[in-house]
Amino acid sequence: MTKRSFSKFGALFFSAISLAACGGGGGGGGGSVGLSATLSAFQPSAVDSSRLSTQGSPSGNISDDYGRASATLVSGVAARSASSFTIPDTNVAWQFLPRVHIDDTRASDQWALGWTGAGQSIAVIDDFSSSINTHLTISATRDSTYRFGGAGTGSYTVNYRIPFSSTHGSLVSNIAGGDGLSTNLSSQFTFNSISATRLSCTSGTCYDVNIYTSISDDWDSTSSITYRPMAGVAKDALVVNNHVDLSPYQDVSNTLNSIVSHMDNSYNASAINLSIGFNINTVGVSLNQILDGLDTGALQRTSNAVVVVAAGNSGAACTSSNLNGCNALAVAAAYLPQTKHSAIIAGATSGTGLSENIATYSARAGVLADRFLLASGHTGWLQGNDVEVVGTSFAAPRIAGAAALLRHKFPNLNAEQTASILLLTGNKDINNDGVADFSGVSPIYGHGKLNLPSAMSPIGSLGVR
Amino acid sequence: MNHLRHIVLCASLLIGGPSVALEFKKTDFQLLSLTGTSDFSKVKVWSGMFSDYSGRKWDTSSLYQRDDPHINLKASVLQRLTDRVLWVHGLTFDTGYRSALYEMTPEIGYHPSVIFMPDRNTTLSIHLSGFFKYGGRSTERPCVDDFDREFHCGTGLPWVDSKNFHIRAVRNTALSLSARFVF
Repeated sequence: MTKRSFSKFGALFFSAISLAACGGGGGGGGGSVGLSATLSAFQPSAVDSSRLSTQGSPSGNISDDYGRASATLVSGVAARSASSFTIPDTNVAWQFLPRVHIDDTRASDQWALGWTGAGQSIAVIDDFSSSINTHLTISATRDSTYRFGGAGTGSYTVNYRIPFSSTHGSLVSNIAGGDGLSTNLSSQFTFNSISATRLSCTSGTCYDVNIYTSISDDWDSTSSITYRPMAGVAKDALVVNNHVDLSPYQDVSNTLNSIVSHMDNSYNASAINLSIGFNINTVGVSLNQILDGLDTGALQRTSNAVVVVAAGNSGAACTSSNLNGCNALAVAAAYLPQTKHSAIIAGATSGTGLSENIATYSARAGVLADRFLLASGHTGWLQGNDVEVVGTSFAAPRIAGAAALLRHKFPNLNAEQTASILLLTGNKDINNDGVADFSGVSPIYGHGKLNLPSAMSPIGSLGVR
Repeated sequence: MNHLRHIVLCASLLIGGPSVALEFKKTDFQLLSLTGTSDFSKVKVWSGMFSDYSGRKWDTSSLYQRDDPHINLKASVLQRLTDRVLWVHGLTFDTGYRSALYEMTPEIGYHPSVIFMPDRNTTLSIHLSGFFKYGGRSTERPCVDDFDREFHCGTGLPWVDSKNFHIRAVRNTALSLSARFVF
């Protein structure tokens, strides 16, 4: 087989498909991502096109798990008959926007010690132009004599919907790092779909209500809210957002070249985050066939950045005999000589506590097990019918942020060492029952879950220089 | 002679510690006490045993074990300035502590006392502990793991997070006054 250049491979490989963001962005049920046709990833190199052309039916989108995971975010901020909500200080603001990535990584423990990622940089290569509609819900206790029907005076808990416009890239980027707490932003919230539950009835007759829709006559139907974005895991790291065209109209070759260029330019960052990719939608293609096609010269520089690539949301097993559904970009990162020692492939978990497990949508470790690490795929952001935005796209920036924190605390670490530490300290107790769920490296879970506190602990033996 | 015994006893008490008072002839300088010990008690050195975040137990005690024998000497020398004024020179010497991760440099100290005896029944004294010290600098060093990352092997914390836990040598200077009346 003749090795092909990345761009050639891209053109061949993507003649029928396009790259896509590996996670958030889209809404709706579990089939395809809203950001379909996003191209991500550096060019997966060469696979013999004659094989590919006869195998499988490539599709343009990476599927994700929208609709399967569910979580509601109800902030603790309440207001009574106010026409606007103003978050008065940082503490309240922190309660307001999603902070699940801070909690599940325990990043704030490191912040408290002064390790915030200062002086580190994270390059996020993603789509920063395609808009995604997300929302949060906010809960308030309201008194009403008429608003919820009846003639009495009652007290109700009301959930309001607050819409936000975002992009896949910004959702990813905001998880990785950056401290948005210094910026006040404003948004409108509407009452298009609210739920209300009666708490009490102090006089007269109050109606029990559960769901209200289209309450257009409410005086707060379009109120403004001031808020501050949540900080990322490495809150003081410099996050460099590198846009690549992942639109349905992308020129695959150009997009691949753009990704490669961004990676080369970011080779000395603390971490590079690639929550993008494309499925190898070819049944029966072996790992060796894929590896035979890798263009080992595609990247100009050996990365000194930890390269974190989302595993993809196809739920693929990524076995050596069949990589169907596996993220080609992840495979390339794990095997290219310029990145294989610094790559981490990010799978996603869902749930918390004893119910936490690898997400059904997350690709399994498979042939990438040696470089595979799990992190939560939750965002706390909602879409559509209050379905949470989830995906391996959002596990990856947690790991990228953790790499930046680790390198802030231990500046002597290079990318290879940083990646090794994060992998070696993975938590093997996936469901948090106190018992390790595997030993060594698992074909499902890889090295286990990101464990930032353990990554800050000694490894191996202790001695003196 | 009884008066001199009283002075010697009083001076010994001023120097303090488990010393044995020695009595010498009446001269301008007299060695009151000389004590020695091999125990290092100036600071508490880490055991080197700790558990990290994941619960793994570490034993780095060998890195805190002393390399050399330790000697701590205390001496008191009485100098008669006048019949009613005595000067007690308190001298200390400590060889310090040397281990892979903790070191205290040798220290010498001078702790003077002045004793006034306005009459046979009254003794007034001033003692300045730690009047002069040289050495005794306390230094901790990090241990390193397989990734050459620095940790504090006393606590298991990353070295950069452990500053508040480092051993600090006590360098107190204290002035004490005492009066003794015999009825």
